Amino acid sequence: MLIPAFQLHLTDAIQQRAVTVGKYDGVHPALTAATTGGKVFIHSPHQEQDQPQTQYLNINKQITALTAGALEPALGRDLLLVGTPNHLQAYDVHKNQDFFFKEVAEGVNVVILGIAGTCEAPLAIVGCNGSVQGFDAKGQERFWTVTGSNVSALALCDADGDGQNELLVGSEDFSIRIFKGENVISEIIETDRVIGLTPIHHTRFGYALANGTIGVYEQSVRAWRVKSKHSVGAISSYDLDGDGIPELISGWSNGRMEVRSDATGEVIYKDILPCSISGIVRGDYRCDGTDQIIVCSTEGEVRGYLPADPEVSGRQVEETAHQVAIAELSQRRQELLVELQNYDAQIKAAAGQQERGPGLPLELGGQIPAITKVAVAVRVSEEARSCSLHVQTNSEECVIRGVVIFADQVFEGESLFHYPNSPAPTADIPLKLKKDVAVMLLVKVLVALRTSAVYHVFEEELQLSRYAMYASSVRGFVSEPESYVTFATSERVSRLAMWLEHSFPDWSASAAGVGPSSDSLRAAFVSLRDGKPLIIAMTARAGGQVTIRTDSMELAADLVQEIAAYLAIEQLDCQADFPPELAAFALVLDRVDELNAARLKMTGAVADSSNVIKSMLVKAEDARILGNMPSMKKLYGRLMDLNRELVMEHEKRATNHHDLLEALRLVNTMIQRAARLRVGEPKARVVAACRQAVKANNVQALLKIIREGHA
Amino acid sequence: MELQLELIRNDILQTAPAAPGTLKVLPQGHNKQQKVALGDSQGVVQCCSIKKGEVVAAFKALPTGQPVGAVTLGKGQNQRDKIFIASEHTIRGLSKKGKEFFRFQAHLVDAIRTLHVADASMWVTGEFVMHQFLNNKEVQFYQAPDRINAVEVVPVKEDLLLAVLGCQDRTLRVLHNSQVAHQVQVEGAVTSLKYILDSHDPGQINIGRREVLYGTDGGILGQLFLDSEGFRRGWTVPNPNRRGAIQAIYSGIDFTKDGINDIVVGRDDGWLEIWGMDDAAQPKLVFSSCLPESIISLDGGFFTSPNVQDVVVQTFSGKVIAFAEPGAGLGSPLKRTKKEEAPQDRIRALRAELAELHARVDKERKHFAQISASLAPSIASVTLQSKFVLDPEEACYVLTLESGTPIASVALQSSVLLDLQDSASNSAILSVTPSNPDEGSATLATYRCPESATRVEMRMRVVEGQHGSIQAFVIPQRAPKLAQAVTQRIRPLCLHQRVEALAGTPPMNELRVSGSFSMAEIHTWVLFCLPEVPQRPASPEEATLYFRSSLLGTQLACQYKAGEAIFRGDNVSSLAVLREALMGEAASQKARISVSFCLEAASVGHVVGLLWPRFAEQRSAARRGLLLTALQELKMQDENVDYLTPEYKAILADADKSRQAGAGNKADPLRLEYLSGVFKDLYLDWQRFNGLVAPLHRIPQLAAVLHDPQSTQLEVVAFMLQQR
Repeated sequence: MLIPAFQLHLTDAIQQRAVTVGKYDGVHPALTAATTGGKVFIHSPHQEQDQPQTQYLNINKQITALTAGALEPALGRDLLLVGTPNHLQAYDVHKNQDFFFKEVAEGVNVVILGIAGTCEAPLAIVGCNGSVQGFDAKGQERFWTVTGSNVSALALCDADGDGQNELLVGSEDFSIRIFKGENVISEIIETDRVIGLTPIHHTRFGYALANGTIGVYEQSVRAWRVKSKHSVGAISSYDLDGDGIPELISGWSNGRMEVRSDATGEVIYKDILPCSISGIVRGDYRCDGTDQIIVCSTEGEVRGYLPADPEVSGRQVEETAHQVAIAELSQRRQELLVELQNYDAQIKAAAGQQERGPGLPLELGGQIPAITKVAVAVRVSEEARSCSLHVQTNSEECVIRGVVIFADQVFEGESLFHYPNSPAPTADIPLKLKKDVAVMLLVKVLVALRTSAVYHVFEEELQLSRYAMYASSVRGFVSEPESYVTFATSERVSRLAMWLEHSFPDWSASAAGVGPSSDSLRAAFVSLRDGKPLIIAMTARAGGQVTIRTDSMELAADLVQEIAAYLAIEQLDCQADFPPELAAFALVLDRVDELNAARLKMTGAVADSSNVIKSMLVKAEDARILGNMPSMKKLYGRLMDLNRELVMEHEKRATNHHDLLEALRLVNTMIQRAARLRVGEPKARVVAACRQAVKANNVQALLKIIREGHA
Repeated sequence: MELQLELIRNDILQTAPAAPGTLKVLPQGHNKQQKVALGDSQGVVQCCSIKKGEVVAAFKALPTGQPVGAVTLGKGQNQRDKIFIASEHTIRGLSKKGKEFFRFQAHLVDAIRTLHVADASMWVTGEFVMHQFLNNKEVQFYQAPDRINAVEVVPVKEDLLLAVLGCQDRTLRVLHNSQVAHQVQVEGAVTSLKYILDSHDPGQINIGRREVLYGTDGGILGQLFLDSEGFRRGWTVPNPNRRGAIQAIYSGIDFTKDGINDIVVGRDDGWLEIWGMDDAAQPKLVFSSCLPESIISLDGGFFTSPNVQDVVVQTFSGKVIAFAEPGAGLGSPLKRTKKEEAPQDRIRALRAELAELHARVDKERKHFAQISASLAPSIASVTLQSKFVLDPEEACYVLTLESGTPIASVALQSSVLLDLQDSASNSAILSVTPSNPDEGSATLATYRCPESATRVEMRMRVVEGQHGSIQAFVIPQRAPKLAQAVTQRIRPLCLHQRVEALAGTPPMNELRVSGSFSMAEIHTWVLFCLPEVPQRPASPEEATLYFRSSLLGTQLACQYKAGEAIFRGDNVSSLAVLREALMGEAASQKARISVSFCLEAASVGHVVGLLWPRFAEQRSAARRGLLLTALQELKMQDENVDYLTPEYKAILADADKSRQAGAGNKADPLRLEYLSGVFKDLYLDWQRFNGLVAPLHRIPQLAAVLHDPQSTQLEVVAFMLQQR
């Protein structure tokens, strides 16, 4: 148990993940957090006697992100950065004035402050719906890139060990992308929405997911992870045990705060707050020269923890560790003894068996024949339109009583339990995979004799290919989609065939008649989700021209990235056309214009109505003071009508804003997909060119870039 | 003043999983330090003591494969250091050196579960029966109507030892000459009993009476006084934190130094509690600690050191743990220097032993692999304990599984649609598989356990009316990979609990069932419909049972005999469920029955009245919850909110208060929905019983009445009784 160094009860609620500490006067730290009603409170315990400890800032908008730091180093004090659904605001708390106020139409989901890569000055890095933007102290855009999905977490960490910070971007499409400048140098696919990222030290960083997983990556390799059924409120890192290496600190919805070893994930300390944790920050809140870790809960409870004295804590830890070790070793010893006994008993049973002769029935209280084996395989069938796991025992008497499959990402939960109503020696378990990912299926098959209540557990591991939900169309005949992407490689056809065999369980080179010297290939598939066709073809022309035909641009982009990675292609440009998707995209662009125009009009209308209300309120109050009751009643009646109108207007604006956000997200997603049809330099070029075209509002150019890679 | 003890935990040793009541601390001999005798499910019996911080075995028998069911010490003058062991049907007497001086085969139907020995007398029980042997001859026999969970032998008078049985049907029975001499009903199924020699009776009111403490499956601890006249009640300790069933009670150490021995309680959810006595001679909690597995036996004595007494705890998986005050035990100041080395020495010794064992296991594994081509994994004795109890306040059932070896995962299947809840007390990760009713499974789910967990708790919310079975497959983490299944039933009226008698005289509806059925048949039907019904009827002619809905407080009386059964209940919905289930059961057994009702219109008003206060409270809490955010914003904006109405001010003040108390006192929307659902069912069932077509089309109107914050109880009742 960790003892807090200090504990505060603030009267204000603290919004999830919107807490920071800033030295707004350059010296004294102040805890700053978003609270109810679009307000920010600043709690500064080191104020002069006559000053209130807490002051409030009225943002009057929903606050989506908050951070503080020295954005302008020349200033010598911290600025407060506040993100709202359509603005980023930098605020100078000391002078009580705005530093800059920048419109961010895509909405600010998360904001951090720091120096990324080779930049010299710190940037305010903002994660939006589909993009990441960086602003300097003047509010100028210095950085822009797309991320495919809504950004939900950001961190700066030297993830590749080159001495410079890379930008880690976690998003709602379950991925953590590592950006070096505007290029993605590494992409990690996780199992749920990424809701927290934190640098730990050197190349290590921690992450948190919406499904209650936290873990640590070393470069792009996962060191450990743990999953809890509670949700993560916040993560951070700090060296609390005094061993010189920071630990991963996590706060949970049930109020639990845990300190875990960065290397192993072992819990070193824990504490429990009375309600769920909304933020963890660090700062020298006591002004005594050492940082504390400050844990805040949603109800305003704040606890600060000091790093432990290594001497004292070490001994305590050691003593409890001894007890734990003894208990654990005893347990292990007991298990080994039991195992030994089992072997003994079985060898005896076997001896007995031999004496009685082989002709006698084998059953001994549910024992199944020794030669019992269980085979598991994935079966993809075009006729049945299904992908299923086929499980079979090699004996008629041994039936399957249940199958449990554990796998990440592809099921609703983390597992699938199949319970056959009438047990049989075979079972077909339909797999309705949610995503196209290559996963390891951990299959546990419960096998028993028909009458027995003892179940033998057979465990099998099975690698599921990424495109298991695509059935090879045997006749090779599917209607050819008009959308395509085509690119040149300098590879032989047989290499692509190898990749196809690796990625599509239902396709084999021999069945398709592709040999080592074939100079063309055509593989046709049907999606088992929606029945849509997919064709991958290659000809030896121009050194190896690959064409992918599918109506889904996303699928095409995934395939291009996969092929490029498999064939180790570093630069890849392409020609593409996706008429239905691009037509839909053109409509989206029109819609963005429309929504923007409507928004401006409505903002004007609101200003008008609020002026009317103000004047009418004065008149009504005058009437009341003069005792003119009928007139007052009338005026207040009209005020009420106006109010109702305003509420309606507000609803319209909210819908408009929501639609606009969605449309902008679609635009960014499209840019991301267009980029992902390419690899290396062409990819970065497409992102930059698209941004230019969007800024210039040049729709034709934008579509051309998407198709051809340049304007 | 709040007195809190500080006790230090010492892990002593680990055996195979053990049965309750298989650990005893031997009395002091020449040496002040005492020994502990224990048995386990492998049949190992051992006796050990602590010398110089090390566990030293006085004797240790080889495993027999016959699980030890009970370990006891003789109560007679000259046999107090004699160890008596029951395994399966065999009773053995061992000296403290491990020499067998006595052996007896008791011919019981099932394995012996409890054993008591006093001179030449032995009391043994199986699941339902008790035998008393005197000089190896049977002198007493009793068959209980429900399971016998706990037994004590109490010297009710000088030279008169009587057996007290704690039974599943919430009854304590005192037996004399194969007859029940006295019995008393308590708050729940009796799970443990303890005869207390030094009575907790400072007032000396009960001189001459013997004190017996009991614990129930609902976690209540109670005190009773027994003499030849019968029972007299003492205090009871409620269980507000809803901890587990009490599995073991011990009282022999005075930790609080107030001259009265404290009461140590061990629960099946791992809680160890010590209760001292306050000035009014009422128990108060002075220590509690939670172990990761269930506690099955408790005893105490000078075990780890000659200076201070320990409480010795035995857990389900066979861990033996001693708790003693600091500055003593293994860590006494005299031995301070020793102690610092002691754990390291132990760890070193254990590591060495483990390495050796690893080598042996590896060898055996290889050896086994060679011959195992012709061999399947055999059935090892994997012990599994399961409990399925109702949590009345949450209207949910809790299935607890505990295994002797670590559990990897549990797969759950049920024909009933279950609303699986997250449980605060375990960290297993629940993952629900989309169900496939065609396959006969309405619920499929897995619980994945963290490393080395041996206990899993699964909470499931149920509604009355549907019934079926739940199967849980326990998949172990390590070899041998053998899964076991536990099956439990959800009964049609699963949220009812047995009570002794009806409270008050509520207006009752009557459901009369008649036909050519026997007493045994109707008893099995009732057993099928309701929980806590004994396996056999208490009397072969006629039975009367009373129930109370734990959630709603409505009541039900069942009176049945061959050919006729009368069910009276204030809630027509319960009777409707009962009718459906009885007809279904009768039809499946091809029995012909006829059903008639006698309805009481006042019962509708009565049931609505029972629920109304809770419903109204939930309804207004939900409304307050909605208003609160807006009000808090106003308060922040304006600082001074004197202009608000008193109601709104009260909401703000309450919110502050509940926040300071650290409890989120928010309305649970599910509960509100649940209560509205009960009203809707009541309305439909009432109309249906009145011979009308179920007025489903009027349900939205009823919902509107219920959700209107102004509607009153009378309006709702009037709506329900309207006949259209």
